[in-house]
Amino acid sequence: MLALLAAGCGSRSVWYPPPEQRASLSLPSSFPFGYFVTMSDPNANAYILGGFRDQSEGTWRWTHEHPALQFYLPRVPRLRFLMDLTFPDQTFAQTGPVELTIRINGREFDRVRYGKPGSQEYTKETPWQWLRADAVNTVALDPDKTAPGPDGERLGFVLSRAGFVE
Amino acid sequence: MQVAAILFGALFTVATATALGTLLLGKACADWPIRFTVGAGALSFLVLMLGLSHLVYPASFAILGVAAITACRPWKVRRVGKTIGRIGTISISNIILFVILIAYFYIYFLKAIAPEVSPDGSSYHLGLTARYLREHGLHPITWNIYASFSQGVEMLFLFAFAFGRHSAAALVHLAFLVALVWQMGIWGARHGMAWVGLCGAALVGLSPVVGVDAASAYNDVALGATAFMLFSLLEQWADARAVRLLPAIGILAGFGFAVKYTGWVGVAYAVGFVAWKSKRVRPVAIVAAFAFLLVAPWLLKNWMWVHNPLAPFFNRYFPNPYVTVEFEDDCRSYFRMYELTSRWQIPLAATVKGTLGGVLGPVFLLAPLGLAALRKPLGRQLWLAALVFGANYFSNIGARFLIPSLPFVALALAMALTTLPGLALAIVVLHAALCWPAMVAKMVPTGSWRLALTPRKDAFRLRDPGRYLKTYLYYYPVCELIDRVTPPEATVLTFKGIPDAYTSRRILVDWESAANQVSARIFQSAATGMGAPNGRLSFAFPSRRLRAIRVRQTATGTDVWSINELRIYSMGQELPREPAWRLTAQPNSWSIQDAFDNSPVTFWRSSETIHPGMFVQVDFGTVRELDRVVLEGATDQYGVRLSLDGQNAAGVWRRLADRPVAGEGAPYLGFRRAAAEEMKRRGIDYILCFPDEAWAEDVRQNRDLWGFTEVGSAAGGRLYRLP
Repeated sequence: MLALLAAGCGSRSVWYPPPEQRASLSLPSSFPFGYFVTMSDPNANAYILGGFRDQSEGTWRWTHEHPALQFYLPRVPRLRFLMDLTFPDQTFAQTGPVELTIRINGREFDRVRYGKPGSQEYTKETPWQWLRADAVNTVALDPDKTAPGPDGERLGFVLSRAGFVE
Repeated sequence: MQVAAILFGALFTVATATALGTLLLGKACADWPIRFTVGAGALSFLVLMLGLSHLVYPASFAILGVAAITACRPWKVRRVGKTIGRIGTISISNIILFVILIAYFYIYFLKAIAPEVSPDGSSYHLGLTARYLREHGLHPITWNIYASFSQGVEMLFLFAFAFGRHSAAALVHLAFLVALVWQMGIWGARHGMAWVGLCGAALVGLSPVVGVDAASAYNDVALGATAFMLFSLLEQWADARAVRLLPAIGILAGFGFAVKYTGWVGVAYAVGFVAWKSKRVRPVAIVAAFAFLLVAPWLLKNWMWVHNPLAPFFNRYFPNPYVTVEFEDDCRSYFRMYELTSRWQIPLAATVKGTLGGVLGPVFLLAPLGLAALRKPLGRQLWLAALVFGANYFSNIGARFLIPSLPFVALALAMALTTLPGLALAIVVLHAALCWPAMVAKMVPTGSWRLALTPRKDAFRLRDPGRYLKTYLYYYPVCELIDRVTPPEATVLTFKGIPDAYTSRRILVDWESAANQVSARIFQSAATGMGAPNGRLSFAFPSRRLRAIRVRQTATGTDVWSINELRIYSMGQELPREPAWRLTAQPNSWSIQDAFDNSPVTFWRSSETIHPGMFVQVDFGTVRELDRVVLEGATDQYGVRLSLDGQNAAGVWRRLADRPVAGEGAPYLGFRRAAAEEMKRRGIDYILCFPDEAWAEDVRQNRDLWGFTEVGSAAGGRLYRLP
């Protein structure tokens, strides 16, 4: 009985080899950008076609009048466009309610009216007729109003992350 | 015909046990309840041996039973008449008491012979029993912690189940209550206090939680009966010093442990009592040896099959891949208090309110009066036994966990009450009135475990048993569905305990093993996003030539550390994992490969709350140049604090980075499908989802993304086949 009990009472480290590798869910690292961007990503600039400040402020980045992004979309059954954005109090006080026009690959996909400041999540199913599989797709996010910022720039909204998810 | 099979299964089991007990005790003890219980211990052991030898067949049980009954000559049965005579003379009080007891035992009988619908009886007690019969023996079961408990009573259930299925098992458990009540009467008579014995027996026998437990395929009443038989037999041995009683004492003590781990106190009590009274080694050795005989197989089975003799407890001391310390700690924490805020609430909760899973009955609030019995040596013995057999109570404060000490408290209370003429009878009559099922229903909240009066037509199968099962077991139709639409070898993952005693498929309940928990987390993180591996912790450092790296966790807290993938980079390129690499972790090294399989859905998890000393280590087998290590994982590990060490070519460990930089990765595309495929890889064929579960809607709306096919629905649940 004592032998039985003595068999435990230990923190044993056992060594293992790496297991069989599973097929990757990520895009190959040779791709300059993927299907989703977070503004904290050091590679975020690769997704930006224009209309953003040059640098992120930690996890977010200011947009200007005509922000546009690009994504590489692999072929998957279904996708939703998703973004986390914020209308800060100080700019919203100047613009009032903002209507955002979302264009995908140049076609108007949606218009959304934001009637109050603060953080928002936008997500909408995006049928494949709007998208190109295994190819680069563009998304433009045009606010109808912007506020004046320092150095004469126009400030639209703050983007934390955007892209396509299942 | 079904009723005949049920009755045969139960009576044959009780008769075989009694015969074995009679053979073991001979003339040394004539009390049939003790013979039955000692024999139950022996029969349980023999069935376990048959189970381990894969000889679980009705025919082998029939041979065993017939052999035991034949070997036990009929003259011993006549002793039963003598014991009835000893319990008491005919008086108005006795007649009232007997009428009450008979009325209660009739409703217990109806409940026990009806289709089994108790929560644990219809799931693991009989689910495992049915599996053992189907598989003709015991096999390693690592997906259900209940298979690791000692299953002494389940072995008796298995014997009965082979002939009469579920209800025969419940009737066997009820036999323990009959034996207990009877022996309490005998005990009183033996001490010249027949009335005390009868009143004490009535207090126990009428108690609602005792009644519903005894009439179900549970084991608490069996443990209570075993404890009291042990107490009685030790008394008889102390009087007679018959050597023949010593093996039986050992068997009873060991059987207590075999019934339920908490019965270990019986072994200590028996060994201590015999040592104290005899002051000799030999009697103690005999008792200890026979107790060991019944205890050891359970410990050895667990040691060999789940690497922990006391599984599913003490996992900190016996680390194993099957039950996590995290789970054990959570369970211990809950069962110590349930939903109570103070232990002072226990007396009212256990006797009246029913918030501890049943009620003992309000009369047990008078238990402190029983302390008056301390004035007498017998009273002191009763209270000592009550303390011993209640020693484990505060590890699980459920009302039924008081049952092992209840007979002793009841007798002590009866001793106190009988000092005033008529008082004991009045209290028992009051107890009977308050404990009648209709009264209990008014007293306790909905959901508290209690007895409902069983219609005779349902008990005796004069109506379709399926109708009764559907009325009292909400998820019974789910079992019917599973058996109807899945192949015999199917494995189903569920997040609700379903009455798996009514399906032959392998049911994995999410929390019932470490592996089930992992599969459930894989599924949940894909369905709800909770715990999804979007977090990135990046250690960057000047390029070094290193033989090994170690990520150390240095904080103490309530979080649990996990890593979905650990990737190592050099100049922006990930180092491919090589066969020469060696991986380990502390704790829970068993699942470390899941952090190196290139799949974001699988993960290594510390499986206990964070504390310094935890680490994950990679040994490259040779020197490699690297400059970055990235941990992909859940973002909700707020308390985790990590640093990175590296071992250079000379074998010297140096700090590479004090802390990582946190970031966020893109949500993975194809994550649901990858999760489904991983679950399939882990042996899961189907998943059961109910509308109140957080993931049900995601699965319903995204079946195409999961690759699931809905194959049926029942009781609100949808059953999906995995791709």
